[in-house]
Amino acid sequence: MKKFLNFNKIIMFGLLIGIITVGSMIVIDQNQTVNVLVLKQGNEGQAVKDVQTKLKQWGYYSGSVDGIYGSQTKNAVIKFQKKNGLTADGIVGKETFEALGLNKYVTSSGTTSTSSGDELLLAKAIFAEAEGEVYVGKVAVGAVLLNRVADSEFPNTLSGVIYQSYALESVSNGRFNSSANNADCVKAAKAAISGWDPAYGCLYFWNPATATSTWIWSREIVVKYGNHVFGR
Amino acid sequence: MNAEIAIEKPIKRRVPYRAMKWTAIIMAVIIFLLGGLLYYLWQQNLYLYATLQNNYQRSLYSMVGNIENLAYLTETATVSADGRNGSKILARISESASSVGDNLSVLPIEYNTMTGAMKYFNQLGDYADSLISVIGRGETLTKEQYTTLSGFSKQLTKIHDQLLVAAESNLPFSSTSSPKSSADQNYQAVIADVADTEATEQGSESAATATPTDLNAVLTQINDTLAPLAKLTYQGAYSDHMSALEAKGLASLKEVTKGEAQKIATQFASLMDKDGKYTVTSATLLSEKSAIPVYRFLFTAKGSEEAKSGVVTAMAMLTGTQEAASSDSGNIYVDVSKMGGKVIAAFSNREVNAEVLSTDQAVAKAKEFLNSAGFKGMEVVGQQKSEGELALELARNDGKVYYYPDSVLMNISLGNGQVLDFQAQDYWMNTGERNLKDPTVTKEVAQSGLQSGYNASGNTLAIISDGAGGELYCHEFTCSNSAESDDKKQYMVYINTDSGMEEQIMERISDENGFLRK
Repeated sequence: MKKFLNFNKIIMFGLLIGIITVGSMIVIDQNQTVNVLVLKQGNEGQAVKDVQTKLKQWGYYSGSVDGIYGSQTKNAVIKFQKKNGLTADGIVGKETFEALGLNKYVTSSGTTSTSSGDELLLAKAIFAEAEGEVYVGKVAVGAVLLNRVADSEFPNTLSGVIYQSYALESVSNGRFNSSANNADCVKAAKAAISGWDPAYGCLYFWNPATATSTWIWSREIVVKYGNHVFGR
Repeated sequence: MNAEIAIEKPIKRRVPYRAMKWTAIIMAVIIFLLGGLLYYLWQQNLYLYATLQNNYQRSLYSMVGNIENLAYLTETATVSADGRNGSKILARISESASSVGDNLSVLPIEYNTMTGAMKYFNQLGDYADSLISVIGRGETLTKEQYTTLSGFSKQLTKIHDQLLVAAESNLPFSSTSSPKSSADQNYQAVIADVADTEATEQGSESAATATPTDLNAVLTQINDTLAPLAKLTYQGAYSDHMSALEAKGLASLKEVTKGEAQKIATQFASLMDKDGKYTVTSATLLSEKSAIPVYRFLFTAKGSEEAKSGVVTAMAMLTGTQEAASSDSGNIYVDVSKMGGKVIAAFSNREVNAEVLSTDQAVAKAKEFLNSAGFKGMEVVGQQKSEGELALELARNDGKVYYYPDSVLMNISLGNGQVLDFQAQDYWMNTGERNLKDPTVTKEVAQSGLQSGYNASGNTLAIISDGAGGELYCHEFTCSNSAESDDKKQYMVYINTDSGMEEQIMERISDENGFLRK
């Protein structure tokens, strides 16, 4: 009986702590803004793939390079961090990215200091919408947003285009606000602002694997880069 | 042996009072905390919802105010006979029209259902800017231009009235995008009447009694009304004629076949990488409706996995599979125009070797490449060094005049001087025969009109774009502020060779990585 009561208490306390923790997370999350790229278990994408590739090359990781940050990747990161005198938390942040030689995922103060507001905004949009794409695809995404600025049917400023209601999925779902300005995206943004347009004047881009809007599919597809098609 | 059957009496287990008390306390605390948390989240949700609605309503009322202002300004612009005051009114029209665009873009309506209204207000602001230029040239507005302004005024007054009715109705914005069919039928009829400059009294009465379902429906209908009105052709960037520009450099050239285009692309790819051996693994005709329809060829290195698997892999790359994205390295896309077989662009994702070339050496390599590719007399007008690459903008120069619209962009490897990327869309859109007259305004006269606080250090003749599909023939001066200034800056000032008027000013930004005109 006593055991039952102890067990009951443990469950109750566990529930209590769980509720408080979840509640705190919900409350904190409402105000949280991440400014640098941080990878941890559960993340997916090109950045994870690059980390896995590096860890595999150096013998820390034996799994497949699938872009999914699972427990095997986390253990490999911990091993790498221990070996390199970093905090062994299994989370890839600024220091771990630098130690891996993946500086492109680290916000460069040197780059940002010479960038204009529009370049930074465009780089953030490119990161949020096309982080895992090939470089030319990133430039094409930047060019589409600039083509909208020049088009009479869209807002006439870059901020107006990026924050236009329901125009970019990453802005609607909040992912945009946690975008980092990595070197590759800043370079792509600068190229697009300089006039590079691999999208040939297109005004729309979408991922054929996920786009469900019938309207977007009524656009004429002009060109494809990586996972995105570009149309007008 | 008589077996005694022992009947076990059920034991009445009693939970000790103390244990029950603790359980009850813990449960009460959990319920209290859970309730508190839910209440907090509910309050937060209400607060955020109210904030969002307030921002939407603020934008709506701001838009109503701006439209009211525009209706008034477009009317007063038709009355003004003084160019100085007329320009001030037109500048305010431009600002207010831009503000309406801003208001529209933040309202919770699907962006693709607001394109007509957005175009209407963009054109209005841009049209006002073009009229300021007309007045600035010392000309007076034509009767047709006054009529256009008057038409804007009538349309805007009606739009304003409709919006005011909707705003006063305290209608909410729908949380989901509103389909066109969701608008109230009576309201649709009234809104449609807005376009009609001869609206009847009966129509106006209907407006007051109409009951739309939500603001999304109202705005969608207004968009549908404005869309057919946004068809203005004038000297401006948002004019309708801008979407129908043709490639001047390709207009008189003959169509090439895919096979001929492939030969041209192959030659170009070998120029980009003289040591590499490539195989064409895909050939696609990109959009026929583009200003410049192109054949796209994908070149993969011979012997690579991509080349071995041929078209399948190449198509995978173009259609975007993961394997394709990771195997993009080393490949080259070359786009050749269907008309005339000119290389419009080439993109590659090749490795950049350690930096061994100076920027001057890389520029020399770029010019040599352009000469081989048929682009003669190209001069660097902008360059930026970054991560082992040199980004260049080059414009045509015939020895006397810079033709800025005839420009190409290039990325050069500072490792081996190879061309990594190339783009000549602007070049082929603009290049062609130009019958330039001798400047009416001499260099000396043009220079005498420059701002006296700046030193003009260089001069040449230049063709620049007017931003509306046309060109301007100008004297180009490089002006810098006084040497004592801590903030040393350089500007390119363009003076019209015919009128002597200042047409454009661009800043020449220089740093340790290069320079560019902005």
